[in-house]
Amino acid sequence: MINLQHIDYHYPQSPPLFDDLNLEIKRGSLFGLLGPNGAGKTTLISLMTGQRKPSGGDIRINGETYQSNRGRILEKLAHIPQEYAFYPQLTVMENLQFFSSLYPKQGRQSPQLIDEALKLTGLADQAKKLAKHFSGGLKRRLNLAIGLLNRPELIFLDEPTVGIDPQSRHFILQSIRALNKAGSTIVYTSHYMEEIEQLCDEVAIMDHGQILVHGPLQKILERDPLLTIELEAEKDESLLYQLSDVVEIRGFKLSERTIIGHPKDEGEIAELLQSIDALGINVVTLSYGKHTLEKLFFELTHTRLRD
Amino acid sequence: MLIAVIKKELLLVSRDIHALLVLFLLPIVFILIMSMALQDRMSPESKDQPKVGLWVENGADQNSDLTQTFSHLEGLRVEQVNSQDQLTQLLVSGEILGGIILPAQFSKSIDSPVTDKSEKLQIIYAASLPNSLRRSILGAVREALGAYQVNKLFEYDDLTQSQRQARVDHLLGRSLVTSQTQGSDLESQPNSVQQSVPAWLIFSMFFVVLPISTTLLTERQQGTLQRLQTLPVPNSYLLIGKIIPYLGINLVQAALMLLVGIYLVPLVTGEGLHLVGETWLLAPLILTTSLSAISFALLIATRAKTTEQATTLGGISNLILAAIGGIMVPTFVMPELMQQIAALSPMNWALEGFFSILLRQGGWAMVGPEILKLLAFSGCLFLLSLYSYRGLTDTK
Repeated sequence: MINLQHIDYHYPQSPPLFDDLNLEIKRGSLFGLLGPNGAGKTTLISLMTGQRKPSGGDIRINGETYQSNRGRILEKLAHIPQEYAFYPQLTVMENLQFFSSLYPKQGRQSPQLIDEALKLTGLADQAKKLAKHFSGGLKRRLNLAIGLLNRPELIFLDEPTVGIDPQSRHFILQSIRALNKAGSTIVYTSHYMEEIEQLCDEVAIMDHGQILVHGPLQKILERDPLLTIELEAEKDESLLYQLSDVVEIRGFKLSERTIIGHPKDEGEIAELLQSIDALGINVVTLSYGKHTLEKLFFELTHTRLRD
Repeated sequence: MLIAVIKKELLLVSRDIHALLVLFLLPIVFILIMSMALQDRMSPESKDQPKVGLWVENGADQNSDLTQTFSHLEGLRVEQVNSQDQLTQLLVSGEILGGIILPAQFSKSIDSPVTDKSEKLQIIYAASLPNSLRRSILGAVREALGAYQVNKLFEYDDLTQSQRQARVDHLLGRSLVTSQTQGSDLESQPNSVQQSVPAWLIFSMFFVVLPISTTLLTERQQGTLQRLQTLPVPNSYLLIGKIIPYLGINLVQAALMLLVGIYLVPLVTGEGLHLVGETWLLAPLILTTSLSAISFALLIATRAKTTEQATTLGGISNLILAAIGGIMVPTFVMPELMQQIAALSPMNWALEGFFSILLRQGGWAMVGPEILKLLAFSGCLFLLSLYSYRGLTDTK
């Protein structure tokens, strides 16, 4: 569906953001794109949606490039940005009619597509209301509804649940699942790890313009069982400094009083605990086994997503 | 597709109450206020004419030919007063420059030989009045008196009114003297209505900068422009879709303000706008003025980073262009240097175009250069704004 090969990109007067980036997103997948602020997610999406042009490499959507067939790609693509990208002074129906009319091939189908979008987002009874009077949740739904007007095969959703109540979030997540089941390929970015874990079948974690890990979600979470040890907070810095030597020799990482790593076996865990104990440092929590997305993200990027 | 973009823009501006007030109500208010405020100063009848008071002594016939003669003196504004005290008071306060006292028995003095006892018409000048103005007043009174006396000579002749007037004019030398102003045999200075209606119409047309920049910058800031980029619609449609509705709005403004000038202003000032001369030239003039205003607005909207920046920059630019362009202060009262600076403002080109049509009754030869200047201005600014817009929307 989406194929990025050897992508280079840099902003004017800035060092390269992407240098030989490769990524493939399969048709029908619900793809989660994760990364801390400044990782390059938004730029990557704007490249995939044709808003930016790479300085090198090749972007193909359904085998076609923006240079050769921009119009045909955009006919079947929807980008739902994080901002409320509509006209607050217009009613829901006026917004939908305006955006629908910008798809020239829809013609007589337009009223039917508007109806479908209203039903899917639960806005049918709000159609005549001015968008500026809506709550955050309803605005998000309208943002989504506009993106569905062309029955897109490929949907880019950028943080679609930011700043809304749990009920609206649940509704939107259900709508996204329904769209994916109906055959749309979805590229989804969110700060909420649990959303990505619930929704996505495939993820990529990126940082500093690089894809750090990419693949089916379950496969990623099951790879190399992860050990996480959280140490007591109030301890002498010099002890932690001594501990960091021990930890790093064994190939573990110590950051923000948390040790993360992939032990060879349980014996190595016992040895590590002995070293910690010898320095008089207490362990607050210890977990070992399958990753959670949040821990994997932390391990790879050394930041928490909500930082 | 283009119709949808135009409809959207019209819906947005129709729901922007502030924009509607600025575009439609503000110019009407300005036209009415400024027409009234400048009425005395810019009226050809009253402009620069010294004002004198006329006191007709008790006993004189207020409706006699003699009283009427001195109520309309050439080159003077005559205000009849009720007493000699009032006349003195007005002279002292400086409200009138001279006073004329018409004695009760003055008509008898005209009909009889002059003796020491004959009652004489008396002129009183303000103390500080220059000699030139004293001579003007004295000349006007003598001329009026002469006309009255000559008229009396033909009183018993069997002549029609016009024949008698022709003889009076001939004897006084009026028909043997002609005068004209150097440069044009038509009026070159507008009256208050001819100044105010086109001036504030042009000013308000340029205020499309507010709704245009507000909608474009809101689109940018809210991510709507980003969304539009991922739709299969050419950028040029989006920009043209902004021009056409505002062209329509400017035309409605023009029609409305001209109607205000023709029908509403006379109710307030007593004098209305008269569409004379080659009025068809108003169409290309208004059209090119509108294109200039829209192109100017688009350039500001595409260059500004925030709505506040655009509205401040747009508002201030409009005020400066109006101040130097003869909108706020008529150019004919400006010193020569300022008049040269005024010629740099597109608002001045438009205003001069209106004067050329409505005041000087000029044809294409007179109005054409102004229209071409406006067309060139709008073309240059449109190209610049198109370049800026592409910078905002093209793939980078």
